[in-house]
Amino acid sequence: MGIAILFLVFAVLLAIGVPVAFALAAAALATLFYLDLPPVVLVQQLAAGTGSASLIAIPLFVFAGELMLRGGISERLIALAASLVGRLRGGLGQVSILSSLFFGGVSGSAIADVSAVGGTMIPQMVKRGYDRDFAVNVSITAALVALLVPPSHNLILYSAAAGGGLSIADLFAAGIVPALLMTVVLMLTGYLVARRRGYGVEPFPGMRALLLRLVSALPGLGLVALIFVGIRAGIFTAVESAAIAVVYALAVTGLLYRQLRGAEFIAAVTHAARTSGAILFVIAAAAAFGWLLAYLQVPAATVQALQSVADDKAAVLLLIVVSLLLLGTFMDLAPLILICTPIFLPVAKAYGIDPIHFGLVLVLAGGLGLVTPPVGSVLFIGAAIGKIGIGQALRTIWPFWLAGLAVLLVVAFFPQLSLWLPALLKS
Amino acid sequence: MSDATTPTAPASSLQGAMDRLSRIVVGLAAAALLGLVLVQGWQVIARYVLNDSPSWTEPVTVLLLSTTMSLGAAAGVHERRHFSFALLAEALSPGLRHAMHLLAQLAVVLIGAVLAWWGTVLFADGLGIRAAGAALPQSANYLPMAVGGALMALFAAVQLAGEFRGDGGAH
Amino acid sequence: ARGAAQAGGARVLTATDVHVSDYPTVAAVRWIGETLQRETGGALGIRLYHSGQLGRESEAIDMARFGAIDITRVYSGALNNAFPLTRALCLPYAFDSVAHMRRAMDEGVGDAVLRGFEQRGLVGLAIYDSGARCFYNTRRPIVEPHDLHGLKIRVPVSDIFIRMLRDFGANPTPLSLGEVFSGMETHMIDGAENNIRSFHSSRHFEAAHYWSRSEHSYAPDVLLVSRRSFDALSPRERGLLVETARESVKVMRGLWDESESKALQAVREHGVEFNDVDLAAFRAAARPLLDEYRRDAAIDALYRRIRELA
Ligand code: NA
Ligand code: NA
Repeated sequence: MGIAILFLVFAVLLAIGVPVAFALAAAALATLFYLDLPPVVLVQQLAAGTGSASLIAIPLFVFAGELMLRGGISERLIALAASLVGRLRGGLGQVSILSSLFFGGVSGSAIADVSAVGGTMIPQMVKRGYDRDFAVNVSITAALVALLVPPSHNLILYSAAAGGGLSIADLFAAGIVPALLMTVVLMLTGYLVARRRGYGVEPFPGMRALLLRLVSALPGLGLVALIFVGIRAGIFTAVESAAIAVVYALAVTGLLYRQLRGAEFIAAVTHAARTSGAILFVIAAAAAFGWLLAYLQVPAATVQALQSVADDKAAVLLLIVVSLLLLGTFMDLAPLILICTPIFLPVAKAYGIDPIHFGLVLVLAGGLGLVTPPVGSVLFIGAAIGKIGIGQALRTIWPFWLAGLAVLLVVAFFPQLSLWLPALLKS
Repeated sequence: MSDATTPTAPASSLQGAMDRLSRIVVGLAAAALLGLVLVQGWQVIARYVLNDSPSWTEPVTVLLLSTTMSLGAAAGVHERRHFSFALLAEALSPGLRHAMHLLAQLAVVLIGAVLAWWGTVLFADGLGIRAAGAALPQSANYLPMAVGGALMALFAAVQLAGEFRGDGGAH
Repeated sequence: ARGAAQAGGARVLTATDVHVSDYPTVAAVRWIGETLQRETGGALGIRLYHSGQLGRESEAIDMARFGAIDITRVYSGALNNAFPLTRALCLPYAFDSVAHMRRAMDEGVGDAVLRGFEQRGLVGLAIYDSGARCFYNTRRPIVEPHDLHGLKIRVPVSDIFIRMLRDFGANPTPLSLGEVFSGMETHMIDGAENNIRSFHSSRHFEAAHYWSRSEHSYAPDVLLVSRRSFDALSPRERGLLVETARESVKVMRGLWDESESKALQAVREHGVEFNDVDLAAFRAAARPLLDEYRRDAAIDALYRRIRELA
């Protein structure tokens, strides 16, 4: 009954136009009342939802992206990228995907990735004539790569939730091949969609122009290098790198390019605050909603239902994937991992599924939920940066989402793909 | 998500006051965001240059993040910036749609009020306990939540009142 | 609470723990639930949410106080500021060994600390000791406090731990637990401190190869029940809960010792290097911090009692 109230109130409020965050909070509140639990839990969980360190990357990277956009860094970076890959249809989409792989190599989080890469790429793609929905969709699905390529704090979380028996080094190694596969499949999808939409190609501007663009983009490339080297060398964390990015972008745009004046600075910081407020609030509300899902033991009920219909390994794996996709629709990734690992992993093990392999499946399946409504933080961030409605983004996300799903199924049903590299590294 | 308010009727003085209040609120959220940059940046500098990690940065970061979120989200109510779908509303007759819209606004008022009330309770509850690492009350990050909730309720109530009279905003 | 509390007429208490299902504290609470169920003929039981499913420890305390959950197991370090008496349990070198710690908890100190929870809407049920906390790092064996100089050591956000590390000469670096592994791999931090079981289950031994037996703190875990939930029980049920929780300490200790030796063996097999430290030097370095906290009369009284039992 509690579960029915939670979902029903949410669905009805959403349908009559209550914003997602408020619908989540109101559904949680109604369910708390029904369960005779104090409403104070709602406020506690809203606060807890933003108490985690990795979320700080959102406002900071959104801010850095605004500065880069208004101060001329992005423009020069993209001009360089366009002259390099301009002959490829949808070339900037490919740049966005490759940047995600690159940034994912330093950040463990899809949220940080879409804030950082999407914050730069989406506005510039729009400026260069790409449709907003394409720019948003290619960037948000690309952010899933960050979940798989090491370091991945979600895999660390999985190891902890599994009780510590799983080597983090093995999990990291297992993520590499799926991450590359995801990159290639998304690039192919981006190319096909761009060709269907007839995005133009840009002529090669010539060596001289290319060099000029390279020189002019160097300070921008310096930012990328600074973040990559800084995190890899352990000088700062991924979260701190977001603050470093802001300071660096301020220095380059204000002092070197002299393109950022007081008015643009104010516009950048206020716009970033507005966007971040909306994004963070919906993530916080999702945490309160997720608390009730956990309290009502929804994942456990799901796995029970699943066990009653499946009998062999492949069927169990498929049903786990389906349940995770469903749960991922409503839950954010970190709580999903914490709550589902202790429930799903023993089932998977009982059917002979390797726990390292299962971790990749769990993170990827849960990760796909980050780009689907009604609770999808990566989708919300992308849509906010691209200034389009969720509905508009959703109408055309399916080729990318299906590409991600295909990768998930391949990763799920070909365990060698993830287990090959860890085994190789051990021997 | 739609752009900032474009009232159909000439802005009433109440509407003007709300616009000004919303701008102030956004300004505070932006100031907290700048504070986040400073605190996180300082954390790196202190760790390497001074070889000393300040312990106050974590609680202060959480407080600033809560401020950016709560106040940014409150201004988002006034500016109608929050993510929504409104699947059903699009398919209804104008009269029903208006009723739904009022109901939706009411839900926002309610959540804002709950945040304001229980946020205040939680803030007051932990006021006498010092947070680990910083000279802040343990419950400091509930303060922006309570304020943000009150502002959400206020902005949504003013919109609701305006729409009830039918003088604007019904988009 | 209706959803959890009234499953088919029986009263079900909700309990939370951030540790995984087979962790000794989780197993001990599960044992309490089974015992209650048996003793009451199924009228009273426990529903256990392990692995942090209902949130972090800092939130769990307030959730219990406001009656959203009934029972919670939290680390005493997280309670220091709200419940001053718990500080006595976290102070460096207050205890000499696990045996000393257990003796003190059984002979009055534990009860005194547990009574302190009543001032803020909680009832203390049990204190679960969780081994000696030691330093581990990626650089070198730590023998004297001097060896910590310049090392960035992750500490939980706790005033005692931050001050202690600073007094030892290290650079205490607050970092969320999830970032510690990557932090050590990239050498952003040099190490951390914890008990051997957590060193194993967090897989931090994959990155840090030096374990130094500094045994600087025995900060235990505490099992609490919400005052509201407790008062809602019948007098008989209250007595049964308190009694069962008390007995669960033995269960927990048995499981702890077993799992600790397993963890020790596992990290040893992985090639982690162990070393003893100059305990006298560490005790001396912790002196000023001890003296400062002992200026509080209540803490000093508890501390003296602890030392009497050494
Ligand atoms: Na990554
Ligand atoms: Na989703």
